Amino acid sequence: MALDQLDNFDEVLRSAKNGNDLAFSVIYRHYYQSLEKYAHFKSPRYVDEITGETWLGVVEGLSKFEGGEREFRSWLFTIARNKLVDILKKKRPELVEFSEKGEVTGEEGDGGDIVGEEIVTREQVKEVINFIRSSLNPDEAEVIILRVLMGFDGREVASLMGLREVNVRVLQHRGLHKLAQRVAKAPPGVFTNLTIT
Amino acid sequence: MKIFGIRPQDDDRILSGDVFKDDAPPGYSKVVGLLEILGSSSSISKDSGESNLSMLLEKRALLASQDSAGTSDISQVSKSKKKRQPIFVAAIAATVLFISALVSAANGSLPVGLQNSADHIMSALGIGVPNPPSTLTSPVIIASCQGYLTNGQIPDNVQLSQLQQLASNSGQSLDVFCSKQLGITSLANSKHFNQVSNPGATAPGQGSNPGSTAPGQGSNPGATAPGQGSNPGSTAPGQGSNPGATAPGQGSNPGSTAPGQGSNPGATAPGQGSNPGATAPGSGAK
Repeated sequence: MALDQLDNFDEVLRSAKNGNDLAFSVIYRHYYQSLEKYAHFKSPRYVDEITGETWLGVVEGLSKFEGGEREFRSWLFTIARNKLVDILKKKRPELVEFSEKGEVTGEEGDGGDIVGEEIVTREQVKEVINFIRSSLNPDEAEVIILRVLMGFDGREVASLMGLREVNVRVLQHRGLHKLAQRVAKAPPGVFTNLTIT
Repeated sequence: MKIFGIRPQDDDRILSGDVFKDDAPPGYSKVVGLLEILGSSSSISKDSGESNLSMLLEKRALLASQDSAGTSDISQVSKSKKKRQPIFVAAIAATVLFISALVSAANGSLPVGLQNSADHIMSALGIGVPNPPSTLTSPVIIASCQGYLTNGQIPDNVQLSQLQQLASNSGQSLDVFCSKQLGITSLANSKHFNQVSNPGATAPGQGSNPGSTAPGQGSNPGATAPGQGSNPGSTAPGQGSNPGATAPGQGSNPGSTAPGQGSNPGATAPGQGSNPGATAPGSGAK
Protein backbone atom coordinates (compact mmCIF):
# COMPACT_ATOMS: atom_id res chain seq x y z
CA MET A 1 0.00 0.00 0.00
CA ALA A 2 1.25 3.43 -0.84
CA LEU A 3 1.72 5.60 2.18
CA ASP A 4 1.27 8.88 0.37
CA GLN A 5 -2.50 8.68 0.81
CA LEU A 6 -4.74 8.03 3.77
CA ASP A 7 -6.58 5.15 2.15
CA ASN A 8 -5.98 3.04 5.20
CA PHE A 9 -5.42 5.23 8.18
CA ASP A 10 -4.57 2.42 10.54
CA GLU A 11 -1.79 1.19 8.28
CA VAL A 12 -0.35 4.67 7.84
CA LEU A 13 -0.58 5.31 11.56
CA ARG A 14 1.20 2.06 12.36
CA SER A 15 3.99 2.98 9.96
CA ALA A 16 4.27 6.44 11.48
CA LYS A 17 4.53 4.92 14.93
CA ASN A 18 7.31 2.67 13.67
CA GLY A 19 9.32 5.66 12.54
CA ASN A 20 8.24 6.06 8.94
CA ASP A 21 8.54 9.78 8.23
CA LEU A 22 6.55 9.56 5.02
CA ALA A 23 3.61 8.09 6.87
CA PHE A 24 3.86 10.79 9.50
CA SER A 25 3.93 13.46 6.78
CA VAL A 26 0.75 12.05 5.28
CA ILE A 27 -1.05 12.28 8.59
CA TYR A 28 0.33 15.72 9.23
CA ARG A 29 -0.77 17.10 5.88
CA HIS A 30 -4.15 15.47 6.17
CA TYR A 31 -4.99 17.16 9.45
CA TYR A 32 -2.92 20.32 9.30
CA GLN A 33 -5.50 22.60 7.69
CA SER A 34 -8.28 21.53 10.01
CA LEU A 35 -6.12 22.02 13.04
CA GLU A 36 -4.94 25.36 11.78
CA LYS A 37 -8.48 26.58 11.22
CA TYR A 38 -9.51 25.38 14.60
CA ALA A 39 -6.55 27.22 16.13
CA HIS A 40 -7.54 30.31 14.20
CA PHE A 41 -11.05 30.01 15.52
CA LYS A 42 -9.86 29.57 19.09
CA SER A 43 -7.17 32.23 19.05
CA PRO A 44 -6.12 33.98 15.84
CA ARG A 45 -3.05 35.48 17.44
CA TYR A 46 -1.52 32.19 18.46
CA VAL A 47 -2.27 29.94 15.52
CA ASP A 48 1.38 29.05 14.97
CA GLU A 49 1.98 28.37 18.64
CA ILE A 50 -1.09 26.20 18.97
CA THR A 51 -0.43 24.12 15.87
CA GLY A 52 3.29 23.83 16.57
CA GLU A 53 2.81 22.76 20.17
CA THR A 54 0.03 20.37 19.21
CA TRP A 55 2.12 18.56 16.61
CA LEU A 56 5.06 18.43 18.97
CA GLY A 57 2.73 16.72 21.42
CA VAL A 58 1.78 14.26 18.71
CA VAL A 59 5.42 13.51 17.91
CA GLU A 60 6.24 12.91 21.55
CA GLY A 61 3.19 10.80 22.29
CA LEU A 62 2.66 8.94 19.06
CA SER A 63 4.64 5.87 20.10
CA LYS A 64 2.27 5.37 23.01
CA PHE A 65 -0.92 6.19 21.16
CA GLU A 66 -3.40 3.36 20.75
CA GLY A 67 -6.45 3.51 18.50
CA GLY A 68 -7.69 4.18 15.02
CA GLU A 69 -8.60 7.22 13.00
CA ARG A 70 -11.47 8.41 15.16
CA GLU A 71 -9.40 8.09 18.30
CA PHE A 72 -6.51 9.90 16.62
CA ARG A 73 -8.70 12.84 15.61
CA SER A 74 -10.05 13.15 19.12
CA TRP A 75 -6.55 12.87 20.54
CA LEU A 76 -5.23 15.52 18.17
CA PHE A 77 -7.90 18.06 19.05
CA THR A 78 -7.70 17.27 22.73
CA ILE A 79 -4.00 18.09 22.58
CA ALA A 80 -4.83 21.29 20.71
CA ARG A 81 -7.36 22.37 23.32
CA ASN A 82 -4.94 21.65 26.14
CA LYS A 83 -2.07 23.44 24.42
CA LEU A 84 -4.28 26.44 23.84
CA VAL A 85 -5.03 26.61 27.54
CA ASP A 86 -1.31 26.39 28.34
CA ILE A 87 -0.45 29.10 25.85
CA LEU A 88 -3.13 31.44 27.06
CA LYS A 89 -1.98 30.91 30.62
CA LYS A 90 1.51 32.01 29.68
CA LYS A 91 0.40 34.96 27.63
CA ARG A 92 -2.08 37.66 28.35
CA PRO A 93 -5.57 36.51 27.48
CA GLU A 94 -6.64 38.23 24.36
CA LEU A 95 -9.94 39.95 23.80
CA VAL A 96 -12.29 38.41 21.35
CA GLU A 97 -11.65 39.93 17.99
CA PHE A 98 -14.48 40.17 15.56
CA SER A 99 -12.49 41.50 12.67
CA GLU A 100 -9.23 40.23 11.30
CA LYS A 101 -9.29 42.27 8.10
CA GLY A 102 -6.11 44.13 8.93
CA GLU A 103 -4.16 40.92 9.29
CA VAL A 104 -1.53 40.09 6.68
CA THR A 105 -2.63 36.89 5.03
CA GLY A 106 -0.69 36.72 1.81
CA GLU A 107 -1.84 37.06 -1.73
CA GLU A 108 -5.47 36.43 -2.44
CA GLY A 109 -6.14 33.28 -4.36
CA ASP A 110 -2.85 31.73 -3.34
CA GLY A 111 -3.20 28.19 -2.05
CA GLY A 112 -6.94 28.13 -2.55
CA ASP A 113 -9.24 25.14 -2.73
CA ILE A 114 -11.98 24.72 -5.24
CA VAL A 115 -15.47 24.50 -3.74
CA GLY A 116 -18.07 24.02 -6.42
CA GLU A 117 -17.00 26.41 -9.12
CA GLU A 118 -15.35 28.90 -6.78
CA ILE A 119 -11.79 29.07 -5.54
CA VAL A 120 -11.73 29.39 -1.77
CA THR A 121 -8.94 31.58 -0.53
CA ARG A 122 -7.26 31.83 2.85
CA GLU A 123 -8.94 35.18 3.32
CA GLN A 124 -12.36 33.68 2.79
CA VAL A 125 -11.71 30.90 5.25
CA LYS A 126 -10.66 33.39 7.87
CA GLU A 127 -13.68 35.53 7.18
CA VAL A 128 -16.04 32.61 7.65
CA ILE A 129 -14.36 31.64 10.91
CA ASN A 130 -14.57 35.19 12.18
CA PHE A 131 -18.21 35.46 11.15
CA ILE A 132 -19.13 32.29 13.01
CA ARG A 133 -17.22 33.41 16.06
CA SER A 134 -18.84 36.80 16.11
CA SER A 135 -22.35 35.50 15.49
CA LEU A 136 -22.53 32.72 18.05
CA ASN A 137 -21.61 32.18 21.62
CA PRO A 138 -18.33 30.29 22.13
CA ASP A 139 -19.86 26.86 22.74
CA GLU A 140 -22.23 27.07 19.78
CA ALA A 141 -19.39 28.22 17.55
CA GLU A 142 -17.02 25.50 18.73
CA VAL A 143 -19.58 22.76 18.19
CA ILE A 144 -20.14 23.85 14.59
CA ILE A 145 -16.42 24.35 13.90
CA LEU A 146 -15.50 20.93 15.28
CA ARG A 147 -18.29 19.19 13.42
CA VAL A 148 -17.49 20.81 10.10
CA LEU A 149 -13.70 20.83 10.26
CA MET A 150 -13.12 17.31 11.46
CA GLY A 151 -16.37 15.55 10.76
CA PHE A 152 -16.85 14.71 14.42
CA ASP A 153 -20.29 13.47 15.33
CA GLY A 154 -22.25 14.83 18.25
CA ARG A 155 -20.93 12.26 20.69
CA GLU A 156 -17.31 12.95 19.82
CA VAL A 157 -17.79 16.69 20.14
CA ALA A 158 -19.48 16.16 23.48
CA SER A 159 -16.54 14.11 24.66
CA LEU A 160 -14.04 16.71 23.48
CA MET A 161 -15.85 19.62 25.05
CA GLY A 162 -16.84 17.83 28.23
CA LEU A 163 -20.53 18.16 27.51
CA ARG A 164 -23.47 15.80 27.19
CA GLU A 165 -24.45 14.80 23.69
CA VAL A 166 -27.92 16.28 24.10
CA ASN A 167 -26.35 19.62 24.95
CA VAL A 168 -24.23 19.45 21.84
CA ARG A 169 -27.33 18.85 19.73
CA VAL A 170 -29.05 21.85 21.27
CA LEU A 171 -25.98 24.00 20.71
CA GLN A 172 -25.62 23.02 17.06
CA HIS A 173 -29.32 23.57 16.37
CA ARG A 174 -29.27 27.03 17.92
CA GLY A 175 -25.99 27.82 16.19
CA LEU A 176 -27.24 26.97 12.73
CA HIS A 177 -30.45 28.93 13.27
CA LYS A 178 -28.54 31.99 14.49
CA LEU A 179 -26.16 31.78 11.55
CA ALA A 180 -29.05 31.67 9.10
CA GLN A 181 -30.60 34.72 10.74
CA ARG A 182 -27.30 36.63 10.77
CA VAL A 183 -26.55 35.87 7.14
CA ALA A 184 -30.03 36.94 6.09
CA LYS A 185 -29.71 40.20 7.98
CA ALA A 186 -26.14 40.93 7.00
CA PRO A 187 -25.86 44.24 5.15
CA PRO A 188 -24.17 44.30 1.78
CA GLY A 189 -20.39 44.30 1.99
CA VAL A 190 -20.09 42.20 5.12
CA PHE A 191 -18.71 39.24 3.23
CA THR A 192 -16.31 41.16 1.08
CA ASN A 193 -14.36 38.10 0.06
CA LEU A 194 -17.15 35.60 -0.10
CA THR A 195 -19.30 34.66 -3.02
CA ILE A 196 -22.12 33.13 -1.05
CA THR A 197 -24.90 35.42 -2.13
CA MET B 1 -36.88 36.93 5.47
CA LYS B 2 -38.27 34.76 8.18
CA ILE B 3 -35.94 31.91 9.09
CA PHE B 4 -37.73 28.82 10.30
CA GLY B 5 -36.19 26.21 12.47
CA ILE B 6 -35.12 22.96 10.89
CA ARG B 7 -35.42 19.39 12.03
CA PRO B 8 -32.60 17.96 14.18
CA GLN B 9 -31.67 15.46 11.51
CA ASP B 10 -31.22 18.35 9.09
CA ASP B 11 -28.70 19.84 11.52
CA ASP B 12 -26.63 16.70 11.27
CA ARG B 13 -26.89 16.55 7.48
CA ILE B 14 -25.82 20.16 7.05
CA LEU B 15 -22.92 19.87 9.47
CA SER B 16 -21.78 16.61 7.89
CA GLY B 17 -21.61 18.24 4.47
CA ASP B 18 -24.37 16.04 3.04
CA VAL B 19 -26.49 19.03 1.98
CA PHE B 20 -25.58 21.22 -0.99
CA LYS B 21 -26.48 24.87 -1.16
CA ASP B 22 -29.28 24.33 -3.66
CA ASP B 23 -30.81 21.53 -1.60
CA ALA B 24 -30.65 23.36 1.71
CA PRO B 25 -33.80 24.15 3.70
CA PRO B 26 -35.25 27.62 3.09
CA GLY B 27 -32.99 30.31 4.54
CA TYR B 28 -30.07 27.94 5.07
CA SER B 29 -28.42 27.94 1.67
CA LYS B 30 -26.02 30.73 2.60
CA VAL B 31 -25.14 28.93 5.79
CA VAL B 32 -24.36 25.80 3.82
CA GLY B 33 -22.17 27.92 1.56
CA LEU B 34 -20.26 29.27 4.54
CA LEU B 35 -19.73 25.80 5.96
CA GLU B 36 -18.48 24.56 2.58
CA ILE B 37 -15.81 27.21 2.66
CA LEU B 38 -14.97 26.36 6.25
CA GLY B 39 -14.66 22.68 5.44
CA SER B 40 -12.54 23.16 2.36
CA SER B 41 -8.98 21.98 2.40
CA SER B 42 -7.76 25.49 1.88
CA SER B 43 -5.12 26.47 4.35
CA ILE B 44 -4.99 29.81 6.07
CA SER B 45 -1.22 29.86 6.14
CA LYS B 46 1.16 30.39 3.24
CA ASP B 47 3.18 27.21 3.39
CA SER B 48 0.44 24.96 4.75
CA GLY B 49 2.70 24.03 7.60
CA GLU B 50 5.51 22.54 5.51
CA SER B 51 8.17 24.40 7.46
CA ASN B 52 6.74 22.97 10.66
CA LEU B 53 6.73 19.51 9.15
CA SER B 54 10.47 19.51 8.50
CA MET B 55 11.09 20.65 12.06
CA LEU B 56 8.81 17.91 13.40
CA LEU B 57 10.61 15.25 11.35
CA GLU B 58 13.91 16.39 12.82
CA LYS B 59 12.39 16.13 16.26
CA ARG B 60 11.18 12.62 15.49
CA ALA B 61 14.63 11.61 14.37
CA LEU B 62 16.13 13.05 17.51
CA LEU B 63 13.66 11.24 19.72
CA ALA B 64 14.24 7.98 17.86
CA SER B 65 18.00 8.23 18.29
CA GLN B 66 17.64 9.04 21.96
CA ASP B 67 15.26 6.15 22.47
CA SER B 68 17.62 3.73 20.82
CA ALA B 69 20.51 5.00 22.93
CA GLY B 70 18.34 4.85 26.01
CA THR B 71 19.34 8.36 26.95
CA SER B 72 16.32 10.35 26.02
CA ASP B 73 15.69 13.54 27.84
CA ILE B 74 12.52 12.10 29.25
CA SER B 75 14.23 9.01 30.59
CA GLN B 76 17.07 11.11 31.98
CA VAL B 77 14.61 13.26 33.78
CA SER B 78 12.80 10.24 35.15
CA LYS B 79 16.11 8.64 36.16
CA SER B 80 17.21 11.71 38.02
CA LYS B 81 13.82 11.80 39.67
CA LYS B 82 14.25 8.16 40.66
CA LYS B 83 17.66 8.98 42.13
CA ARG B 84 16.22 11.84 44.09
CA GLN B 85 13.35 9.80 45.46
CA PRO B 86 15.32 7.77 48.07
CA ILE B 87 17.04 10.93 49.29
CA PHE B 88 13.72 12.64 49.58
CA VAL B 89 12.20 9.69 51.45
CA ALA B 90 15.21 9.49 53.75
CA ALA B 91 14.98 13.19 54.49
CA ILE B 92 11.31 12.85 55.37
CA ALA B 93 12.01 9.80 57.54
CA ALA B 94 14.82 11.62 59.36
CA THR B 95 12.59 14.61 59.97
CA VAL B 96 9.79 12.43 61.30
CA LEU B 97 12.26 10.57 63.54
CA PHE B 98 13.69 13.80 64.88
CA ILE B 99 10.27 15.24 65.62
CA SER B 100 9.19 12.01 67.30
CA ALA B 101 12.33 12.07 69.44
CA LEU B 102 11.62 15.66 70.43
CA VAL B 103 8.06 14.82 71.34
CA SER B 104 9.16 11.74 73.27
CA ALA B 105 11.77 13.77 75.10
CA ALA B 106 9.19 16.39 75.94
CA ASN B 107 6.89 13.69 77.27
CA GLY B 108 9.72 12.04 79.14
CA SER B 109 9.04 8.75 77.45
CA LEU B 110 12.50 8.11 76.09
CA PRO B 111 14.69 5.36 77.55
CA VAL B 112 16.57 6.53 80.63
CA GLY B 113 19.93 7.03 78.97
CA LEU B 114 18.45 8.89 76.05
CA GLN B 115 16.18 10.89 78.28
CA ASN B 116 19.16 11.95 80.40
CA SER B 117 21.06 12.96 77.27
CA ALA B 118 18.04 14.82 75.98
CA ASP B 119 17.68 16.46 79.38
CA HIS B 120 21.28 17.67 79.29
CA ILE B 121 21.03 18.92 75.73
CA MET B 122 17.66 20.57 76.15
CA SER B 123 18.55 22.13 79.46
CA ALA B 124 21.65 23.57 77.80
CA LEU B 125 19.29 25.16 75.33
CA GLY B 126 17.11 26.42 78.12
CA ILE B 127 14.31 23.96 77.47
CA GLY B 128 13.09 21.87 80.32
CA VAL B 129 12.13 18.27 79.77
CA PRO B 130 10.85 15.83 82.37
CA ASN B 131 13.34 13.72 84.23
CA PRO B 132 13.51 10.16 83.11
CA PRO B 133 10.88 8.05 84.73
CA SER B 134 11.94 5.62 87.36
CA THR B 135 12.96 2.34 85.96
CA LEU B 136 14.12 0.91 89.22
CA THR B 137 13.05 -2.61 89.82
CA SER B 138 12.46 -4.03 93.21
CA PRO B 139 15.90 -5.63 93.71
CA VAL B 140 17.58 -2.48 92.53
CA ILE B 141 15.50 -0.39 94.93
CA ILE B 142 16.47 -2.60 97.79
CA ALA B 143 20.12 -2.61 96.86
CA SER B 144 20.07 1.17 96.47
CA CYS B 145 18.35 1.55 99.77
CA GLN B 146 20.89 -0.74 101.34
CA GLY B 147 23.65 1.42 100.02
CA TYR B 148 21.93 4.56 101.12
CA LEU B 149 21.15 3.39 104.61
CA THR B 150 24.54 1.82 105.07
CA ASN B 151 26.76 4.46 103.59
CA GLY B 152 24.50 7.49 103.71
CA GLN B 153 24.79 8.02 100.01
CA ILE B 154 24.27 6.51 96.60
CA PRO B 155 27.11 6.98 94.19
CA ASP B 156 24.83 6.87 91.20
CA ASN B 157 23.10 10.23 91.02
CA VAL B 158 20.50 8.93 88.65
CA GLN B 159 19.56 6.14 91.01
CA LEU B 160 19.53 8.56 93.89
CA SER B 161 17.24 10.96 92.12
CA GLN B 162 14.97 8.15 91.06
CA LEU B 163 14.87 6.81 94.58
CA GLN B 164 14.08 10.26 95.91
CA GLN B 165 11.34 10.63 93.38
CA LEU B 166 9.84 7.31 94.34
CA ALA B 167 9.99 8.31 97.98
CA SER B 168 8.41 11.68 97.34
CA ASN B 169 5.75 10.07 95.21
CA SER B 170 4.79 7.91 98.17
CA GLY B 171 4.89 10.95 100.46
CA GLN B 172 7.82 9.72 102.52
CA SER B 173 11.31 10.78 103.23
CA LEU B 174 14.03 8.74 101.65
CA ASP B 175 14.99 7.27 104.98
CA VAL B 176 11.50 6.09 105.76
CA PHE B 177 10.98 4.86 102.24
CA CYS B 178 14.16 2.86 102.28
CA SER B 179 13.55 1.49 105.68
CA LYS B 180 10.15 0.31 104.60
CA GLN B 181 11.61 -1.23 101.52
CA LEU B 182 14.15 -3.16 103.52
CA GLY B 183 12.01 -4.03 106.45
CA ILE B 184 12.06 -2.24 109.71
CA THR B 185 14.63 -4.50 111.45
CA SER B 186 17.14 -3.72 108.78
CA LEU B 187 16.86 -0.11 109.76
CA ALA B 188 18.25 -0.81 113.14
CA ASN B 189 21.38 -2.25 111.63
CA SER B 190 21.72 0.61 109.23
CA LYS B 191 24.90 2.45 109.87
CA HIS B 192 23.47 5.53 108.37
CA PHE B 193 20.32 5.18 110.36
CA ASN B 194 22.18 4.59 113.60
CA GLN B 195 24.65 7.31 113.03
CA VAL B 196 22.62 9.99 111.47
CA SER B 197 18.92 9.73 111.39
CA ASN B 198 18.14 7.95 114.62
CA PRO B 199 21.19 6.91 116.57
CA GLY B 200 20.58 4.29 119.17
CA ALA B 201 17.12 3.50 118.05
CA THR B 202 16.03 -0.03 118.10
CA ALA B 203 13.78 -1.80 115.83
CA PRO B 204 10.13 -1.85 116.75
CA GLY B 205 9.28 -4.71 118.92
CA GLN B 206 12.69 -4.86 120.38
CA GLY B 207 13.61 -3.68 123.81
CA SER B 208 10.67 -3.10 126.05
CA ASN B 209 8.40 -5.44 124.33
CA PRO B 210 10.11 -8.76 124.25
CA GLY B 211 7.20 -10.54 122.90
CA SER B 212 6.83 -8.55 119.85
CA THR B 213 8.28 -9.49 116.61
CA ALA B 214 10.03 -7.35 114.16
CA PRO B 215 8.04 -6.54 111.10
CA GLY B 216 8.64 -8.91 108.29
CA GLN B 217 9.92 -11.59 110.54
CA GLY B 218 8.06 -14.75 111.21
CA SER B 219 5.58 -15.17 108.46
CA ASN B 220 7.52 -13.17 105.95
CA PRO B 221 10.70 -14.96 105.09
CA GLY B 222 11.46 -12.45 102.40
CA ALA B 223 12.19 -9.81 105.00
CA THR B 224 14.10 -11.77 107.56
CA ALA B 225 17.20 -10.67 109.29
CA PRO B 226 20.50 -10.93 107.50
CA GLY B 227 21.66 -14.39 106.67
CA GLN B 228 18.36 -15.90 107.47
CA GLY B 229 15.51 -17.17 105.39
CA SER B 230 15.59 -18.59 101.99
CA ASN B 231 15.38 -15.51 99.80
CA PRO B 232 18.87 -14.15 99.28
CA GLY B 233 17.64 -11.60 96.85
CA SER B 234 15.69 -9.79 99.48
CA THR B 235 18.07 -9.88 102.33
CA ALA B 236 18.86 -7.08 104.64
CA PRO B 237 21.66 -4.62 103.94
CA GLY B 238 25.14 -5.89 103.74
CA GLN B 239 24.21 -9.46 103.33
CA GLY B 240 25.38 -9.87 99.80
CA SER B 241 28.81 -8.50 100.33
CA ASN B 242 29.05 -8.88 104.02
CA PRO B 243 28.53 -12.44 105.03
CA GLY B 244 29.64 -11.74 108.53
CA ALA B 245 26.93 -9.27 109.29
CA THR B 246 24.76 -10.10 112.18
CA ALA B 247 21.11 -9.71 112.74
CA PRO B 248 19.86 -6.47 114.26
CA GLY B 249 20.86 -6.15 117.82
CA GLN B 250 23.18 -9.04 117.58
CA GLY B 251 26.26 -6.91 117.73
CA SER B 252 25.54 -5.99 121.32
CA ASN B 253 24.19 -9.35 122.20
CA PRO B 254 26.73 -11.97 121.37
CA GLY B 255 24.90 -14.63 123.13
CA SER B 256 21.73 -14.37 121.25
CA THR B 257 20.98 -16.20 118.15
CA ALA B 258 19.40 -14.91 115.07
CA PRO B 259 15.63 -14.91 115.04
CA GLY B 260 13.96 -17.84 113.44
CA GLN B 261 16.96 -20.01 113.55
CA GLY B 262 16.48 -23.65 114.23
CA SER B 263 13.41 -25.56 113.40
CA ASN B 264 11.13 -22.59 113.46
CA PRO B 265 12.29 -20.13 110.86
CA GLY B 266 9.24 -18.02 111.27
CA ALA B 267 9.83 -17.39 114.92
CA THR B 268 11.40 -14.19 116.04
CA ALA B 269 13.80 -13.39 118.74
CA PRO B 270 11.78 -11.79 121.47
CA GLY B 271 13.53 -9.48 123.80
CA GLN B 272 16.55 -9.10 121.69
CA GLY B 273 18.80 -6.27 122.68
CA SER B 274 17.49 -5.72 126.19
CA ASN B 275 17.35 -9.36 127.00
CA PRO B 276 20.89 -10.62 127.01
CA GLY B 277 21.25 -14.26 127.03
CA ALA B 278 17.83 -14.96 125.75
CA THR B 279 17.58 -17.43 123.04
CA ALA B 280 15.23 -17.34 120.23
CA PRO B 281 12.29 -19.60 120.44
CA GLY B 282 13.02 -22.79 118.73
CA SER B 283 16.70 -22.40 119.07
CA GLY B 284 16.64 -24.90 121.84
CA ALA B 285 16.17 -27.61 119.35
CA LYS B 286 19.38 -26.63 117.76
